[in-house]
Formats: sequence, C-alpha cells, structure tokens
Amino acid sequence: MSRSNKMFGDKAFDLLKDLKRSAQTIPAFDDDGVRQVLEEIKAIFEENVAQASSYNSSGDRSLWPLLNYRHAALQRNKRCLLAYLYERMQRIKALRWEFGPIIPGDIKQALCEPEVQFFNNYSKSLAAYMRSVGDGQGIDLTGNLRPPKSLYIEVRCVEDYGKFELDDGEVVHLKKNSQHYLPRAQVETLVRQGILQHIA
Amino acid sequence: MLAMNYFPNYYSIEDIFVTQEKVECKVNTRLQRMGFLDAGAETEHLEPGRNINLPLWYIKELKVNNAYFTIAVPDIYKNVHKAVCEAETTHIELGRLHPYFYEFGRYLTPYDRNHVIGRIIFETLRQRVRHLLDISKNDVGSSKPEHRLDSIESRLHEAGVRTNTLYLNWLQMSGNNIRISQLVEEHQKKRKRAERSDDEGGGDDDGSPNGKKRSTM
Repeated sequence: MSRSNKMFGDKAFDLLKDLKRSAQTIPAFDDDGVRQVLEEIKAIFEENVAQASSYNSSGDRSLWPLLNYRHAALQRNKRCLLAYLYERMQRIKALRWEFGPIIPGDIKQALCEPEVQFFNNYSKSLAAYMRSVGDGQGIDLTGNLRPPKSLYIEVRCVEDYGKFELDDGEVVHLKKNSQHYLPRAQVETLVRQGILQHIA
Repeated sequence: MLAMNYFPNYYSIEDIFVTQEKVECKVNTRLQRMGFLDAGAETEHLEPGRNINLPLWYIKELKVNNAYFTIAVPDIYKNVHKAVCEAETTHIELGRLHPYFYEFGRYLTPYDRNHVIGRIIFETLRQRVRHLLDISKNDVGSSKPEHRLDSIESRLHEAGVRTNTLYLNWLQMSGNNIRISQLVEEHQKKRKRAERSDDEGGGDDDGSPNGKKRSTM
C-alpha cells in the first residue's frame, strides 16, 4: 500500500513539476508516472468502496474523516493528471504555429502516440480552415505576424538549406553565410524556422 | 487564453502549485486510522493535540470550522505585518519568503481569526506595485531580481519589461524585422547544448543529428 512512503498525490504533483521546469519545450511523456498515478487512484477508490460498503452495514461513523481525506486525494490526483495532459496539449498546439506542419524528430519522440495523432488532426483542421477563408483563395494565418513594411527583404542564410524555388520559377541556392534579397512573403516561414536571418 | 484568467481555473498549474503547500494544523479529535498522516506517530490513529502538516488541497475541502483540525496561519504573514504598518514592504524579499505569497494568502484568509491577512496582502501589493513599475521600466530584460519577487510580481515584471521594449522599438521605428520563432530558437539552443556535451563526452561522435541519443542526455 502506498500509505507508508509518501503522501497521496505527490506522484501526480511530480508530473507537473517536471512540466513546469521545462518552461517552453515539451519533456518526454512520462508513461511510467502517469501509470503510477492511475494505480494510486484505483487503489484509493477500491479502499473507499470497501469502507463505504462496510459503513452501510455497520453505520459506524468514526471512519468518515479518513473517507473524506481519501476522496480529496482522489480528486487531487485527477486534477493533476488532467492538468498535465491539458498543458501538454497547449504546448503541442503552439508547436503547430511555431514550427509549421512538420515538427523536428527529437520533439516528436517526446510525444506519446495519441498526442502525435492530436497534432496531426489539429494541423489538418487548421489547414482546412485556412483554405476555407479568404474568398476561396485561402489565407495563411501563420504568415505576416507583424505588419509588413516592404515587399522584399534582405536575408542571410544561417545554415545550408539547398535549393529554394520561388513562385516565379526562379531557383535560389541557399548556402550558409550567403546573402539574398527575396520576396518577404515567400521567405517568412524560413526566417521563422531559423534557416534565414532577417537583416535590416 | 484560459491559463491567463485571474481566477484559478481547474487546469491552472500555478494554482496546483499553490495548493500543494503544506499548512500546520492541530488535531482536535481522535481520528481513526489516520496516523499515516503524522510522520512521528507510532499509533495507527491520529491522537488529539498533535501538530501535523497537511497539504492545502485537503484543507480547502474541509469546512472552515471543522471539528477535526485547527489551522495555524504561517508566521510569514505575521512578519510581513510589521513592515506593512511601517510602509516598508519594497525591501522585503518576497520570493524568498514564499514564492506564491499572494495566492497562498488568499487561500488562508478564511482561517485567519484576526482578519488581517486580507489586508496585509492588499497593502503589500499596493505598496510594492509602484516600485515594480520603476524596475520594469529601467532594466531591459537582462537582470532579474531573482528572490525579491513573488510569482505574480515576476509575471508583472516580465510583462512590464516586454511592453517597455516594444514601446521603445516603436519610438525608434525599429524591430520590424521578422524574428525567428521563440520555440524554434529554444529548440536550436537545446540542440547546440546537447551537441557540445556530446563533443566533450563522446569523442568520436560524428555529430550527425541523432535525436534519440540527445533526449537521454
């Protein structure tokens, strides 16, 4: 029984502590921790059920505080678990806006299977929505986050990217430390992803 | 956004952190088979007269005048009381005192028989907010007064610094460049850090992107 070593609810709290320590990024999904909390919830619930049924037969009120405490612990565990999942979901949503539809492999490894599915579905519905607005042409909501001042911008390449084809068919070779003068709308994503750097 | 609501919502991690705090309580009646709550007890039951620390999430489920426990108000609020009277709260290192000074106090107000906590936290913030405004206008993001601010205050401070920078940028008509997204930047930094530690430790690692190895570092 878990009553000897730690207080009820401490394991669930550890999950959130872990999440809070890594303020922006997503830590690996703590499969083991979640399972332990679920087991704790189950154990508490079973004890309470056993006690409640014995109360029904005997009418002995002396164990009520204990029952009450266990119930509070159960609710607490539930809250911590849900908050853990919810906070991760918020961060996964933010990934879609910041990284675009494809997320780096090492971040993907930190997600569990349902979370990857959630990301894909979220990405899909966002794309469907963006296609549906804007008089049939669609609007890229992730673009132009700051009001554009000029059509073309000067960019420097931070890493080797390879060939990049512009809308008019022209192909630019993006090599590390090379500088280019490119249409703002088409390279904004690359700047956001850290491949290009916008210089004044 | 839900997380920014003032009143703590169900999913608020901040609020869960506040309610994890322990409060000292005095046991009033014999509580059957609850001895496991008291680390120093030998008996199976919780005997009256003992002082134990209970987490706030349990206490707030009980009635204020419950027959089982008497809740003792932590000393930190008594100590701040004097400073509040002398209007000298700006020098208190609130963050060191308690990281969630205001929120914690808010939960404790019903248990405070002298009805001073409510006034204390209100007065403390009222006296400190002016100072907070001053420091967020002056330092530009770099030096953060680590232990002096409570969590709400440091959020206000962050917001203040951010707005101030935006305002300055607008005045100077700069800052119109497209910036690298914050999450991507964090991720790159993390990757670089991992690569560096790989180089120091691994030796003949060819530096090829190997996510699996990094996540365990």
